[in-house]
Amino acid sequence: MLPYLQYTFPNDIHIHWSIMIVMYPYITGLVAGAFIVSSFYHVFQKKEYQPIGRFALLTSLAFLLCATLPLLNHLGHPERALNIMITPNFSSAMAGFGILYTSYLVVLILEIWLVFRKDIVHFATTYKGIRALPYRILTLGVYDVSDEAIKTDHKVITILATIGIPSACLLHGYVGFLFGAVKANPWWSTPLMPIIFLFSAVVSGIALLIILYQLMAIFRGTEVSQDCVRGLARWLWYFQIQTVTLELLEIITLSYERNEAWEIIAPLLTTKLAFSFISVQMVLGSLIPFILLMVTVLLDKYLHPKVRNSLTFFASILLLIQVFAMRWNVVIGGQIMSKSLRGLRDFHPEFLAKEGILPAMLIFALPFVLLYFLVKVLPPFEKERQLAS
Amino acid sequence: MGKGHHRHLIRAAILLGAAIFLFFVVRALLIPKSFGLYGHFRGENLAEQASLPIVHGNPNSCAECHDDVWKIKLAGRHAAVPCQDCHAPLTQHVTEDGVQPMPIHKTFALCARCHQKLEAKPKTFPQIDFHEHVVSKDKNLENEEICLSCHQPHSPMGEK
Repeated sequence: MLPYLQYTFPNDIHIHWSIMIVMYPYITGLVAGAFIVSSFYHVFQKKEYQPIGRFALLTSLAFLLCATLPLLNHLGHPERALNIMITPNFSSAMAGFGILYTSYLVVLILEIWLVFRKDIVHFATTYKGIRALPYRILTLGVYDVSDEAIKTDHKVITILATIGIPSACLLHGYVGFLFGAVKANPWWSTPLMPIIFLFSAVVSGIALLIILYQLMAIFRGTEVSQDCVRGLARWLWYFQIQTVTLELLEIITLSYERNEAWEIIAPLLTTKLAFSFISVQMVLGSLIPFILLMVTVLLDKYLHPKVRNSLTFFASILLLIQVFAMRWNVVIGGQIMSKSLRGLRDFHPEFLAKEGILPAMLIFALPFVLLYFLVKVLPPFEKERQLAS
Repeated sequence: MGKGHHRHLIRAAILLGAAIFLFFVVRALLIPKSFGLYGHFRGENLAEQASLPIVHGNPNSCAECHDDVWKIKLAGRHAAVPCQDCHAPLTQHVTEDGVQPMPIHKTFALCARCHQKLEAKPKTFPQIDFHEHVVSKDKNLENEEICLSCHQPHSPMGEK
């Protein structure tokens, strides 16, 4: 094996931003998307989303708590992670991460605490011994769940959820901005980037919740609310159309302008990214779910609930793959182009390496494990809450 | 808001305020004293870096003793390549105990660092596919110094 070291520029043989940097916007996108879904109920008072309003908040928290893991693994030296908070260098966009992440985390935790406060007080008073202890701590010593107190909570929840929407959008828009602001890379450098990231984040969030909600319903032996699935399918279709339109607009603009960057972007899309961009992102991940969701939305009144559930479920799986492919094509695609824009490089992810496929899968599995425990501690669904009562 | 029914909110606000206060206390303790002295870094770091032992010599200092080779190099295609890229750093050669034998990298791996074929490089830069170029001459790559059997490193393609 000859060494992959180069002394002279352009010496960019190695792709530094690996799968971990693909995972990072993917996970933060799911955080933002799940939160937007929770706001359908908590801010916009859409009753049909009530079955997943609380669950969406827990999903957002589970993914938020794991959002930094790919970065910590990629950079190494996790003990230095807090430097970005302690001495933020505001001439770098990355300094914004600490502030955006923490403020969103605080808003989210406060909202979850208030949404679940009645249950927390209930568990703190009905459970005995060590089991009651975490709930007692979470009550902060106040057991007032009178109608007036709950009414006050609702007002604060609406305020927090309203603050939470721009916070979630900023947190994820910022991730897109990081790429969009790299002016030396024509595949990244576009003001559309934060918007594309944001819209695809909402797509991935809605898709994830449709999948999790239906799976949870199967395991819990409960009915899937058709109003909820119908509404989510509509939003999913809407945001998918927006996302794919924006993604295509960017490429059409690049293609039409025919500036020097297109000479390298065109071969990039048709050779190295042909599978992940054309086959996965555009056909499998965009065209097929577009048709599935079109059928779900336009032929809604003719659909049996099981057909509706299946159509949205499969469309959601494909859209989760689409959003992952989009992150992959942006992050890896932008680096496959040599920095000199003269040629294309290869990227072969390893399976067991520190930043390989296995660590990426483990990091992606972690939020689901966290979510499992969060759902056990704070049951978000009516049935469990009634059983616990 | 219902009077007396927001005690939990006040407690949460106090807790949040305490966390923010604690953050600023910890931050004040963690920031090194010399941080920001000259810029957005630890000022003392400059002195620490400056006190590290010098390893590489001035690129032109080799000419003081090796004028003959220096002239060949200047006339050839490798004129811009510093001596210490292929030879070891000067401090390993000229030491306090006198002149020591100079370690030299002669392997094809070293040549590959600049001349391995890379799409991103200008077409005018000499590049070769090492496997194709070298394996055709030495199938097992047993001779690591195979490049030197044809090329003269100080002036690989003759005079410019």
